[in-house]
Amino acid sequence: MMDTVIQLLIIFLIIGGIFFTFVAAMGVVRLPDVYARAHTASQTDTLGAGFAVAAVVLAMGPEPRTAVAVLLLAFIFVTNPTAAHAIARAAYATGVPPWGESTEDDTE
Amino acid sequence: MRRILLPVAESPTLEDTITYVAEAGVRDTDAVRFRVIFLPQLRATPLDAPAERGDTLLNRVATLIEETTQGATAAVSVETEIVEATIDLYTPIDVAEILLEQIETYDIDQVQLDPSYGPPSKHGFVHPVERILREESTAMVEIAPFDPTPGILPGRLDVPRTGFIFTLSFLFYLVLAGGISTYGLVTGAITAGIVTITLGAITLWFPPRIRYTPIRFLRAFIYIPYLLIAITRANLDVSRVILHPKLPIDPRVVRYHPAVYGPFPLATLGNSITLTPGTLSMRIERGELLVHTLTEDARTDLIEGGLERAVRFLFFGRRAMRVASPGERGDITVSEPLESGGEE
Repeated sequence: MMDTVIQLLIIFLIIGGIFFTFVAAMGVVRLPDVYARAHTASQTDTLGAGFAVAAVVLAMGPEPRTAVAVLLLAFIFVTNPTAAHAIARAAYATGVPPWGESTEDDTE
Repeated sequence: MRRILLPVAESPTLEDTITYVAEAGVRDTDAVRFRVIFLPQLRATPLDAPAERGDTLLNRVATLIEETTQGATAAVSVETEIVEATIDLYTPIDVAEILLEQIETYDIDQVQLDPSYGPPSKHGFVHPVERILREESTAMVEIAPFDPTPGILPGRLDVPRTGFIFTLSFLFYLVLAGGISTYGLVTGAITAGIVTITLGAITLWFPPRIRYTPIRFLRAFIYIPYLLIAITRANLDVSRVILHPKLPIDPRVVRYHPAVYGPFPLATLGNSITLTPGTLSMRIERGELLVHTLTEDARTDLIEGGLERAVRFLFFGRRAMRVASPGERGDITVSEPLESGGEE
């Protein structure tokens, strides 16, 4: 019984992970500029990876190695926004105008 | 009359620098005025009494200059001042700006800098300051020729800092090793030692304190779930927008002056904002955040200031949560609707 619940939870988490990673990929394709893409590429992705690693934690169960997966989760949550900020900051510093601010159409 | 500006802060090379500056200052001139200034914000934490410490420091410096220049033929005068900056000092650019004002106002000919001048544990802070002053003023700018980091250990490694970083990296190593074994303990101690020596002096601005650090760890157990819920909610919202056939985005850039101060709290807030989908910090400048927002909902969340309150709670406790939201304070400016062709 308990095993079934855990397995269902794992399946749910993996589906969640796939969903958010898929959304992140969609966002990179559909959104108009570097800033908007940085939103989805790193953040939606963070939750995607987060769900997947959470599934791994559940699948491994209570053993010492699980702590490593939890740490992995923590590092994803610290490094991903830092990278997103670095991308946005670099774009801003080099003068990339946010979409909508330029008069030209750059949605293509 | 030679006018020398000498900004000071506590540092391992301060005394050497002052002696050097005082000796060089009286050479080949008949009159010299030393203007010694202290910027409390460079060192201040809300927990210190910066003005008092500034007074003591400035008195010490003035006395040292007078002692060093005794017997010199030039007429020496020393003036000291605690300069309260009206802007937050985070980067060398901010500090250079204050010094440029000083050069202008007091007609300074020379600026003498301590090689380890700057906030605690910020090695090399002085070099960009020097470069900016050279470019933007006609005053002569010099960094006193002393090595700011003598010995193997980088400067200002104290027991709390060393202990904290060593313990943290040691525990981290043991977790990665997956258990306690003699081999793990020995290699872990060596690794943690290397980490402490190489990174110890740049990891923390202020040494951890029993009064504040453990309770912050405890508060993180409330902060992290809160953040996770905020992230999940915002993620669903942004996912809906991305998958929507019409892609109903409304990107705007927001200027945001958060009621969160200090480098570490501000970085935590910036990272939390970026982690929340729909808001992305583009730049942090003088305590002001430039945030790219993707949707109206994301902006509303930012204006209501939930994350800001959470970060204030994490660092300063429950009482600090009672603060007006950024919207109420007027600390948020949203750029004009961009699509309507409005150019600034």
